[in-house]
Amino acid sequence: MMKIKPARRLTVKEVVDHLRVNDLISDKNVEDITGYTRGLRTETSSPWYIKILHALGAWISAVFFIAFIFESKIITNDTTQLIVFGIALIAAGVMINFKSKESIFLGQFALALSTAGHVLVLMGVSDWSKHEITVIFGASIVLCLILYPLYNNFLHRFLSCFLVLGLAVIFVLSELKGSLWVHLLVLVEAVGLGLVMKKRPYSDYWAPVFYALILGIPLQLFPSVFSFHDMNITWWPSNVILIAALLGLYLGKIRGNKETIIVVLLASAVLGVLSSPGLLASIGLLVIGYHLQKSPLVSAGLVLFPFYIFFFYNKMDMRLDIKSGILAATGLVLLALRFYLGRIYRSKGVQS
Amino acid sequence: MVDSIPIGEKNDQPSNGSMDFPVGPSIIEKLHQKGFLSDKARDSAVQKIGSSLQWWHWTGHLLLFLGTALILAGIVFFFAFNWAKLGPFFKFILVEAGILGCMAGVFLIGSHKIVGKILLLCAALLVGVFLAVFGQVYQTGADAFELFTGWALLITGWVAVSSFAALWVMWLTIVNTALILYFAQVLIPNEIAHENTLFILLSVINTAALVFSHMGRSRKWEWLESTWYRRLILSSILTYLSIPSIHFILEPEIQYLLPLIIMILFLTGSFSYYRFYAKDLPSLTLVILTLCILILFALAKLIFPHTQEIGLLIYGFSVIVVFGSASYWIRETSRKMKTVTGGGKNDDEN
Repeated sequence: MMKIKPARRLTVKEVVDHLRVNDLISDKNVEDITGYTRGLRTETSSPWYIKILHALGAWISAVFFIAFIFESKIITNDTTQLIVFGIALIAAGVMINFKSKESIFLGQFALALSTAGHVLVLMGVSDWSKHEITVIFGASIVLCLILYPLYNNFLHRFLSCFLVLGLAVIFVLSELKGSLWVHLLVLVEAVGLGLVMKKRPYSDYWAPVFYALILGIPLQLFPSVFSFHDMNITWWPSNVILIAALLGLYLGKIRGNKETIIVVLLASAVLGVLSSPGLLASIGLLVIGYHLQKSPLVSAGLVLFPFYIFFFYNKMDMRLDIKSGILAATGLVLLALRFYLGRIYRSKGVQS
Repeated sequence: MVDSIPIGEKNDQPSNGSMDFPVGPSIIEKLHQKGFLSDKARDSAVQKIGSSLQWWHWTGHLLLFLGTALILAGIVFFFAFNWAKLGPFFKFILVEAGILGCMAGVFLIGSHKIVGKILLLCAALLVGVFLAVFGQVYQTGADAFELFTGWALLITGWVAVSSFAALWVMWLTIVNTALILYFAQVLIPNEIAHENTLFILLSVINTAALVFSHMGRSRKWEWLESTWYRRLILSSILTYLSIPSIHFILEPEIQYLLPLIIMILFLTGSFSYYRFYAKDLPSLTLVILTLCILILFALAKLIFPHTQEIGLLIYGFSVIVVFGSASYWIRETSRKMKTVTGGGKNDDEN
């Protein structure tokens, strides 16, 4: 009796041996790969939980630095002082980061200064423009574009891109209004994510943009399950955009077998038709996270998915018995798809 | 003899050469970008590591989890809508039929299969629904803690035989909830016990669960090989012990001293275990993060009463020093662990 049982992941050596057997790499390539992977073992890039420690330290200390600046009256609430001092702090952060090399303390100090500087600059801009979200959004874009090449730090680049995405959705919903702009934003970001994944999927330089988009898109879709400024947005165009994005992902990146792709696509379409775009974005997060073997992305997807399910159905303006029918029917469809997928693999001689 | 088709899972065996560590799509793509692999070689490598069986295993689990969650949610909404209209007899029939149906499924499919385990989880959830219906129909006047206690006791047998980590976590959550409610509703209002006793008891119970899970893992029990639930339990213990410890740091009262002592002992023990025995860096990071938080509260108590605005600046720098030291130490420890085991990155470091 054949059965599927969990087993270990393949190693680099096994994959290289497989390529050698199939004459797909030369001995020189094998030597190069050996040297490169030896370097990977001792490289100093930080795991994600260390990055979170860095971010926490920087944010908390930035709060106290800003509190000190105001309490000691180094600057007042004057607009010019806020912006100038903020820029000075950001510049100091850039310089210190440039000099910091491997020093964690200097790196964290630089990040704290830059974070505090961003807060002061945006406070000043907000004050100057009388809280015009358009101007604040514009300022965040300018800061991001200028600092992205200058401040060579994953966390800083990620946070500045994430800030832009957060302000983008507030800008679109507050200033532009109209459903079209929301869907245009979703489209632009989905295309941007696709381009980053296609052209430079694992480049260190573009990784912060990738992570900001992949985490930002599901979070930006919160308005699909909450009311915002009494706006009445129809969300189906975003559903269509995200289903198309998922199709592109499955066909372009995952390259699984045909049956799996059909099943996953059908499941996504069913959920897309009967649910919110946030749900589809969460599925994208899960799939990409699993494909790249990034457990934080999968975990984020697993948290957001039930969140969107719960709030979408809670918000629906229909009787509970109809809601219960839709939920149960959706669940049955997904189980039926699983059964269909299982039959395909059983027909290939595999049982689960 | 049973043939088995391997599908992907983490390899946590120590490795010996520079290429003997688990490979993922990111490393394949980096090798391709460096020019070490041609397009054809890259595609073949991706095909090799990302076999369709891996995707079936993962997709199948995901569809099962989502489908079951949606059906259960539909049932809950149905009950909510029809509650007032349903007679008591019909309410009981529905819930009990659900429990029996799930158990029949477990019997037919087998509790060793994932579908069977999910059905057992659903049955365990429906037991709680049954108790809620019972309390409501008969107006027993039972306190909430009695419902949760009864629920935990009734499903203990199923949990013990399930070999399913998610069900164990659910059971532990119910036990924790029952204890919290008992203290909140009975012991503390009647001044029979202090809240510190609650935190200590919760920590003891969850530590027992954590020790059990580590024992199971060391004996290679398959259902205990996942890490998510161990870190969840560890986080809960650290939270329970942190609350009275921080209270003591900010307002030193004698009744909060014992939890602080237990906290120090637990931090020492878990640090030693995760650093030298289990070599589990994410869990070690949780322990270090808790220590950082305690240190920062102690520093705040030390700095702020005696300084004015300058104290804010000093504290800001203190935060950088504390978190920076923690990050530096964890990074160095990570390097040492890699050098000792000869391994490359694993999922937890991505």
